[in-house]
Amino acid sequence: MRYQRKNNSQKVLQIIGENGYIFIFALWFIFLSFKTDTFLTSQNILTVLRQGAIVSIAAIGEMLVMLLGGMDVSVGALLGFSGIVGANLMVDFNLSPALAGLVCVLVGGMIGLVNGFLVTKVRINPVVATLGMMTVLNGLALAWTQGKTVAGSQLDSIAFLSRGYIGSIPFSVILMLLFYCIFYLILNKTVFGARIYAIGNNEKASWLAGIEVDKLKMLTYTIAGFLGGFSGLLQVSRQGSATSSMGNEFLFPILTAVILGGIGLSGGKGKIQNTLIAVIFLMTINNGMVLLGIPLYTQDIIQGLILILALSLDRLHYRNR
Amino acid sequence: MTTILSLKNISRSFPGVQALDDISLEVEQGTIHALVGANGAGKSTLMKILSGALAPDSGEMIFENAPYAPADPSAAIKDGIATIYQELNLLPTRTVTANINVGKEPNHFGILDEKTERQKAASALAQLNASYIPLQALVGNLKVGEKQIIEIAKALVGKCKLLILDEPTAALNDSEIIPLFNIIKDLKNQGVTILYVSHRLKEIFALADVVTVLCDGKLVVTSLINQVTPDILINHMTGRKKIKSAFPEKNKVIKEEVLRLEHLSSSMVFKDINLSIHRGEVIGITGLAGSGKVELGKALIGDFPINSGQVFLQGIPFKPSPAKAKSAHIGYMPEDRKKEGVLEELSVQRNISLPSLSDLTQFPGFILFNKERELAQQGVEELDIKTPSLKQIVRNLSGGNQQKVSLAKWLATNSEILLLIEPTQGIDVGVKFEIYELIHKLSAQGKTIILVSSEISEIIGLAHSIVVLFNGQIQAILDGNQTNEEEVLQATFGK
Amino acid sequence: MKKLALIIMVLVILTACTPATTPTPTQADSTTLAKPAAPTLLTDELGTAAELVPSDAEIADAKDALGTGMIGIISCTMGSEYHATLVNSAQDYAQELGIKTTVIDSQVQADQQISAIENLVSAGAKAIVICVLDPAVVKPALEAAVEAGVYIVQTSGRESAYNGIGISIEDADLGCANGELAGEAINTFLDGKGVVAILDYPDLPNIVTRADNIEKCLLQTAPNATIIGRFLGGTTENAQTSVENALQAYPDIDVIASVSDLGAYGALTALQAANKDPEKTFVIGIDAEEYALDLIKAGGMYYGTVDTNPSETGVMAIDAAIKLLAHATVEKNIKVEVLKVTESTMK
Repeated sequence: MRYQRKNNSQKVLQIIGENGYIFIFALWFIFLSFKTDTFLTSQNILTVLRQGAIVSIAAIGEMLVMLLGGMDVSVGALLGFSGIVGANLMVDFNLSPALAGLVCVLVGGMIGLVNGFLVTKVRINPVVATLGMMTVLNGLALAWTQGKTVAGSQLDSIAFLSRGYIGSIPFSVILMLLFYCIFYLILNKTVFGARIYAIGNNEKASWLAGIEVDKLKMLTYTIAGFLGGFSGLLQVSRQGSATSSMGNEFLFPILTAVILGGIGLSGGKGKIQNTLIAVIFLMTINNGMVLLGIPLYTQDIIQGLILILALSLDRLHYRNR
Repeated sequence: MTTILSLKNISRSFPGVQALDDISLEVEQGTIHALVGANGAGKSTLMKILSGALAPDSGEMIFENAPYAPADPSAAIKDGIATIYQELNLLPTRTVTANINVGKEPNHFGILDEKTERQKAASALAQLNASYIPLQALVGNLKVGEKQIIEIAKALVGKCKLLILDEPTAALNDSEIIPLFNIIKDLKNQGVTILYVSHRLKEIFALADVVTVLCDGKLVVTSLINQVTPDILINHMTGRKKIKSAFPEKNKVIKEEVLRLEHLSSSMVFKDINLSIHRGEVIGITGLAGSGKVELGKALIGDFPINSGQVFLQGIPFKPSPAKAKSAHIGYMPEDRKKEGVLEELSVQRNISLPSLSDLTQFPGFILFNKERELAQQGVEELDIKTPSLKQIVRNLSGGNQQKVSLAKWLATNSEILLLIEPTQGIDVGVKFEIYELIHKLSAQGKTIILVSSEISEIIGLAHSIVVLFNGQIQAILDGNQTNEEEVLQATFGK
Repeated sequence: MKKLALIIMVLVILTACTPATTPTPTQADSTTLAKPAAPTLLTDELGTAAELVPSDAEIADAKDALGTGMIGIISCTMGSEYHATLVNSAQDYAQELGIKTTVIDSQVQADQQISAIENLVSAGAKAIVICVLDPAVVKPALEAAVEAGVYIVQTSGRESAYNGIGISIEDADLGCANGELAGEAINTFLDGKGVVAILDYPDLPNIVTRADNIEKCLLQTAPNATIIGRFLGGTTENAQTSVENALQAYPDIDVIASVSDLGAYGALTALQAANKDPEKTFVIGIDAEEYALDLIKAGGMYYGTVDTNPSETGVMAIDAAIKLLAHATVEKNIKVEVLKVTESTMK
């Protein structure tokens, strides 16, 4: 009898645990809906989604890398640097927006490829390799801009990407959903996706099963780079300018979202849609605190507490396994 | 005799598997009680329940006349039940003394009493006739057999009354097994009750007083050892009425050469290996541990470096790598199934389809899930893999079934050459015979099997020709139909 | 994120401003008095740029003291507009006077400043102009340099100017100037009644000082303004997100006072996206970045910023070093005055 009962309570814990942060998110969402008049308005919800668009697109790349059991801490710096290059080409060299945007994405991809090369061929630990890359990129960003803000009317031509609307829906939100649909299909329906999960699960066994692990890893880091580069372009569009510090805001929310979304640090497990939900959760935390009128100086504490709560619920079912 | 431990109606299930089904069992004080069963029979689950690592879904346990329901392994140890797992649980960088006392260090208000600590360690070792092990030695530097003794000493210091041993001889060589048996018998004479979990029947008949057989989570029989024979036990374990005791007959049609090794060398590990391997042939490679047989096998798949010499595949030079091997229809079943053979967290279906996935797609790389399912279903049926569904993750399967999954993925790619390294290691007899039959069937289909194994009877029973390695070199190539165990064994010793 | 942002913010804070008066060397003062053995440092009040201007005799004395040595300059980073301008102006000015300088870029890494100090001392620096990143980290190295007879001029505050001069911008002054600009806009265009959001960056205490003084001076200038609160700013992205969120709760915001120009850019974009009336909405920053000046000139919502004139600070640093080398009598703490910039002051 005693064991029987324990089993039932374990099941409840498991259900909450497996969707831990979604559960906390739901509570937070309901709380905000009742507590403020402004939260549950279509305008505010669209604002939150729009704020999540760039982080969430860059987070796809991070998620892919972490599914492989790797990590890319250069994602923020990569986003910032690619954005600066793109903005600079448009403002100071009058390159057409399409071409500059393409260069921006390609620069991101190239950096990703170098990351992949360092991790697979030079065999540097991913955190260390991308940390080095982050430092280099931050330095390059400073050197490139000389600390100055890159801005000009030429950037208005890409404003549509992050600030435009189709009907009443922000274009960036449409882009975000589009990217998530595409990568949902890639991860769940294609050989490439299946192999990413396989490698994250057991790299050696995957290699012995004839998967070309190194090539696939390089490809993944490169894709993460493309996504980071594109996010950089989106950020330039959002700010209407590019600053050398632009990428610094991104690493923390991206890593938080991917981990919160259930991608373990050892890889091989996790769903892409959970990353998206986690990004939106993060955005509602900031949004909600402003709407609630919580003083700026206590916001960090509350943000930290919400995250710890969400993560600890998430880990309950691991402990009870 | 008194009953020290009794289990009443213990059941435990995992998603999709009834691991233990209504087990009732009594263990008598001061006996060696063997627990046998095929892989997946429920031995490890029962062991985990006894050691506090797992709770039963229902049923109760009584230990020394008191209800026994350990919350965790440390509670079990406190109650007097110690478990020694196959994977030893020692601190390699600490001394023998420290390891024996770990967790229950004698102390005065937190200050370590090193003298008592040493005394306790010394007396525990003396009790095991193992005083020759220096107390100050680092455990990492000891031999496997000695490490096992340290584990037992650890249990003795913890005042254990029931000692559970899980396949204690799995990692030992012959010279280490005898002393271990003596220790176990000594402990029994000192009144310690032993629950001995194994599937090596020889050992059980040498040691045990009582034997319990599990099969598919049910208790089949508990019997005094002198009232059963190995054949009876095997029948109980496999649930079969009768088991073939002989190997299947070897295929007689051997065709053209498919693989040729010329002067293959890898620094210090194997040297100047020349071999010609033919279609339809089973070639056995054997030798002692350290003879280079496993490394030679791994080198053929690219998992071990080749320094000189060449491999020819159908006359064309071949530089091994897993990806190239796959496209050349060479399949590989590694020795370490959990780490290299299967992807434990993925489904049976995905494990089987993994090397074939790129052939199961439509543009631009979308997997055809129906075809994948068919392929996996075919593998499951062909190899009789016991799984509740194709979606089951491989970690939840028993060892033998995991091994079959590891092989099924290569059958699914239509491999022409199969490289099997220790395919029956750690597998129960039932599955062993299934694999033997399979090897026979595949070679009859014209496939080539390279079988690397240390089990000589298996090599002789299956292989057309037997390559014996000694110190990295070919000592002898023997005809599998003519040779006998003694000749092979002698060759492995370099004679 | 916070740490990176912090580093960036350090760059932003370390921006200064001096009055527009250019120090011209005054007539040589032909005293024949023996040169004192050490400079005399006064600590009773804050000195000004004018008091630092050396005489020809002091320049000559300083050159004597330098001999074959030079003045070392350690920059916080050459990657920011402010710092690069400061250092370049100091170098050009020293060259005009015929004084040798050596520049080291510490790339925003506090620990690199230790070896930079040591290397300069062994290379023969007699005075070091340093932008200190972390006072605690460089303290031992600076004390050792002083021990070796080197004078220190600090361009980023006062606490580390051992045996030397500290030239510093007052964050309170920067904040106050920003607040006064905001108040001015409210009084002129909004009949004294504006709804204000302040963009703060609470991770850095001196930035909070700016925000405190924005609030204080704004209410002094425009007592009927409403301050709805402080929001996370500092960087463009932070500010943009905060203002977007704030606009959901308070759609009638019409003034954003930001502790930095970077944050003001984000606020501007968010306000424009919300279709606020450019005639009735105002953004004020601090730092006088080039892009900010462009935006002010363009005459939109970007109403003003606070200038920090780094090239003057560079000249002042060399002047201070000369005073020290010439063993003159000089105030230990020198204040850099801030300058308000709006469309009208730029004409």
